[in-house]
Amino acid sequence: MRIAFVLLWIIITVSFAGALLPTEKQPLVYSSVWFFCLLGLFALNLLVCTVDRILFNRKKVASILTHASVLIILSGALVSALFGFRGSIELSEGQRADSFMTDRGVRALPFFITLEDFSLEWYETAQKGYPVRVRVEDRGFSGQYRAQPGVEYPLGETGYSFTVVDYLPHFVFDRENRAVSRSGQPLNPALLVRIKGPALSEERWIFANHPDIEMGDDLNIRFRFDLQPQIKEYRSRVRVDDPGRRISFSRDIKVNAPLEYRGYSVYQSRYDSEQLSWTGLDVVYDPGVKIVFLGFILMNSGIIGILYPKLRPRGPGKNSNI
Amino acid sequence: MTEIFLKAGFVLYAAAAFFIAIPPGVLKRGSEKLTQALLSSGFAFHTCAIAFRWHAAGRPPFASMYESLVLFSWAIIAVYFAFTFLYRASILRVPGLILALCLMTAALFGDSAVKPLVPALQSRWIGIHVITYFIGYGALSLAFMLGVLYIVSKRRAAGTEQLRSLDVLMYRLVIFGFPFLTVGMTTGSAWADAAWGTYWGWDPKETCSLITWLVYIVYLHMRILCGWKDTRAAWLCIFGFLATLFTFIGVNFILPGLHSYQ
Repeated sequence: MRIAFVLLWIIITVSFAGALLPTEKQPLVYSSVWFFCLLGLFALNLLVCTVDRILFNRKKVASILTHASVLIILSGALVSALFGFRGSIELSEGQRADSFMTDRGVRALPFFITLEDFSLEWYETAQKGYPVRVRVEDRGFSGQYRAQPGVEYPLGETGYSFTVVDYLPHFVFDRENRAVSRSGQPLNPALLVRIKGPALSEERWIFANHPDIEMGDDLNIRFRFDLQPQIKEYRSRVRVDDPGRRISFSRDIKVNAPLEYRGYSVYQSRYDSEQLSWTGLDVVYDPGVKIVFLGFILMNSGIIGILYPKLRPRGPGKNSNI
Repeated sequence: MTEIFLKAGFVLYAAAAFFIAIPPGVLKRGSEKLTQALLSSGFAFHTCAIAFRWHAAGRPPFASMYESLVLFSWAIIAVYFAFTFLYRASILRVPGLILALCLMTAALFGDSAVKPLVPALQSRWIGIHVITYFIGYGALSLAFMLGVLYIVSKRRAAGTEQLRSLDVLMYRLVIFGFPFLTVGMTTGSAWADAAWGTYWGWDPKETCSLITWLVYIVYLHMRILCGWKDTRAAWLCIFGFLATLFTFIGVNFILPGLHSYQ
């Protein structure tokens, strides 16, 4: 309302000033873009004021908005239920798919998807040394260490000491029965420790995933390898080929970062620790999502619009008596 | 660093609670200002504890139970300050301190190790989803305390101005907290869609959060449209917060689902 009056006064002043100008210069004012904008603003303001006054007040708008948003969310859910579907694709590196499995059988995709590479990222867990627990049975000694490779750790007054000699992230025996790492992934972390004791010295493998397997001569001294490697990210690098549209691109699919293309969303879902060149992807087609999210936005605005005006303190110290 | 700041905050809150517990008249006049100063500096330390944790972990510190308890207690005191600023509602100080001290005690005895985030939790949604939820929880837990206070003092103070103000304050706390609950729930849904491709999966945590939300919906409609301003409203507030608590803690231990990440 106040803006309308301000605009009105500006228009009046400008029109009067224009009228004072010589006739041939008057179009400079009356036909100018800014004068039209001024009139347009005034018209808009008037429209808003009128609609506001005649049709509804702000409270009603917020209430209508909120309750309508519930209907919008529900209709979005209905659209999801009726027209949406989800399924999965399993791909090995280099393999290409143009369809996916759903509960009701195979469905075609409007594009090809090829797995270029699957990889795991791990949190760096052994940054401050390898976490090792040691117990010397007959002396009742126990200790925890963050062992650095090559450093000798004496175990109190027991006469024992140990040194980490080697670390294999993915321990396996090869054909010649040698301990090797099958991959760089910490899928079976193993530590080789050299033990010096009062009677004898030996080297022994200890396994993070298999604490019960501990082969050694002197089992008076027992080790635990407490490494718990944690996966940081699963990443499927895929190529999308859409011959119909002559589009082709590569993208990384990660948890929380799906591939979105032509209404389809492709999510990182599963992996196989035994076969790291394989990935399990979920495919979702859901035209209801956008409707639901629109409903969410309206609902949040509506609820804030209804409730927050009620929070305005009425006069200072309204509740100072409690 | 986090631990030290958290303990400092705890001690300052406890000191404030101590001064509040001393009966009026025993101390000189300056004690009110001292209490407020203790509380404010405690809150500053508490805030720093979260900031340091955030920095040390390199991610929003809202993932483990320890981190949730620290944030929950912080949110309660934050809501207290907001209400002191808006309405000078000093009555919230006692319930606020009781709740915050309980939660912080649980946190200080809990496992404070910084755990790396599983892939599903690494999302830009985590900040807004968790912070809004806990601010909502903070307000609703204070409303719960007032609800209990209302019912306990109903007989003695029936029909008095104090009881009426208690109801008004409880109502305002729900009004303040509920939109945060809504933002928390809807951003959680958006996050679920980004991570799993389902914006609503009827996972136990999701279902419980919806039920909690509906309880407060009932409260608001009854309070605004049907004029429930008495014991019934107080009971609804209590019930609502028990549902909240079940959603927050109960689900993790009793009903396994997508939200029990351990």
